[in-house]
Amino acid sequence: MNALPRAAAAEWLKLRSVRSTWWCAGGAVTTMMLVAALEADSTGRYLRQQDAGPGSAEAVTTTVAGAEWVLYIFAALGMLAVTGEYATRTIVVTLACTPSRSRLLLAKAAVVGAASFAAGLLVAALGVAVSAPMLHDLWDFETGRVAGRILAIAARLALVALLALGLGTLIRRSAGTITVVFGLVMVLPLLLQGLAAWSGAAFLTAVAGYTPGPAGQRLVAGDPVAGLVLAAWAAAALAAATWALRARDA
Amino acid sequence: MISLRGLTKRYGATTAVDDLTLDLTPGTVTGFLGPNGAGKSTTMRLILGLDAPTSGAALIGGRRYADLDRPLRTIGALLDAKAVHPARSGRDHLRAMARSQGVPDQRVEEVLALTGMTEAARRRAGTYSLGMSQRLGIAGALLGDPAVLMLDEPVNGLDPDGVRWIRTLLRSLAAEGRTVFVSSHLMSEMERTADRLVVLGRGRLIADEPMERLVAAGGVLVRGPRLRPLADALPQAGWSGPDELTVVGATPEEVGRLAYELGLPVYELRPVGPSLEESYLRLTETATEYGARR
Repeated sequence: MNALPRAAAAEWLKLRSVRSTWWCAGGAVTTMMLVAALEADSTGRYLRQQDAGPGSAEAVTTTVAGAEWVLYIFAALGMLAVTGEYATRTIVVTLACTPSRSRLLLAKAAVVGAASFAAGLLVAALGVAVSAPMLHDLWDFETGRVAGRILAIAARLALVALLALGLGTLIRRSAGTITVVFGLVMVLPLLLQGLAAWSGAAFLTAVAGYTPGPAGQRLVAGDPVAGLVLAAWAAAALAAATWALRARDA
Repeated sequence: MISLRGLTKRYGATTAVDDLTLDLTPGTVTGFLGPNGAGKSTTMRLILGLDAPTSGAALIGGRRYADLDRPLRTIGALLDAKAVHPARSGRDHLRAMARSQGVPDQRVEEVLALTGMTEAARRRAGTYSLGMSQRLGIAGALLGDPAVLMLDEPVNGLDPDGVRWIRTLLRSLAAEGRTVFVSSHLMSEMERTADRLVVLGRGRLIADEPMERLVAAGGVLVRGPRLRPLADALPQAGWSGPDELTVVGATPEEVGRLAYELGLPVYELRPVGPSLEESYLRLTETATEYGARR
């Protein structure tokens, strides 16, 4: 086996052999099911009050809402793949096993990306499964369309996990990393929009659309270009992380 | 074999490792000694490529660590026994290392058995004592069956049985023709384990000697009721008790013959070496003075 698949096999074993991974997975599933159910309940109640007929509820809206919350759990998962190593000093062992920094980060990205994409599919599918029966009379269920949205949600969650992996490598500490992730995804677009409103500079609103939060929302709404924007954020974080890992002493 | 060529590491204004040139040879246990902060751990980190040297190079079998494809099959190291994820079992810790080197899981079971960790392997590493962590770390170092072993303070936290186990293990690894590089603060332990001693002070190499030479420069202890004439005849003799003399740099033969010629009864006559500890303290004391003068 080549060095990269070997490193990835080690990373996969490390990811699944700690409880925090399973706490993240369990937390994501619970959060999604809870949010999707609440969302389905309030949407259903409102639409029935309005005497809306079949097809009035947008498919997967409940799950999209759930993904906004689950996002941070996926970020934690990606981040812990590296900040966990710094916190426990196992980074020393990891780098002794895989001395090539770029190879190590590529292996981590492959494992975090694949695992969170798979988990994202599961979580999104569960969100749909929970809300579908609650909205059965209002929901225009189109299998192809729903599948596409589920894929987009999984892609968004995986890309955010990769962004957090890159930032975690740069920052090395969990608390700092999660703060920066939250700031980038949640606070930055609000800040830019606020600035735009205050200064009247309309281009700031456009810029806000290219930050990871709104880009991810547009990806989930069916805009593949926004997916590329989010992917560029993740790629940039990982590239900076590779550079830092090479330049720094472990 | 490890070759250090002018290895230097500076952190800002401090020089942690200063122009270290050294060859560590197979079949030998090389002890690595030095006061705290002398640069021992930094040297080991530089060998593993964890830190980048400011100048110079550390080569393992002629290659830099980063250029080794499956590094653990060439050099096994234990730098920090506590560098284990507390939530991961000892077995999974080793298995992850094994995956990265293409080493089969069966080898994990072998090194677990070798280090007496089979029973504890399924427990989370966070529950291990320091001694158990050391054993797990040594299991990790042995995982790739490497020709070179490098251990930083491996006997820390081990009970007397464990200390003896390490000694026997290191001796047998060297006897198999491996290069063994081990640092320790336990001088008496080093004296029994190492063939060669490398002493570092303030990042500089201050001694690189075979063990015999460092412990040999001793003397003779002689005990008897009327040793005054002997003390007068031997300028290098000193009273180490009311009826006991220590003669530095002499052999029992010389002292025994002289006592016979002087007609003195002798109750005890035996060679004494300065302990390695004394030699070591003498050496590092000079290094400290040198450092202070700089």
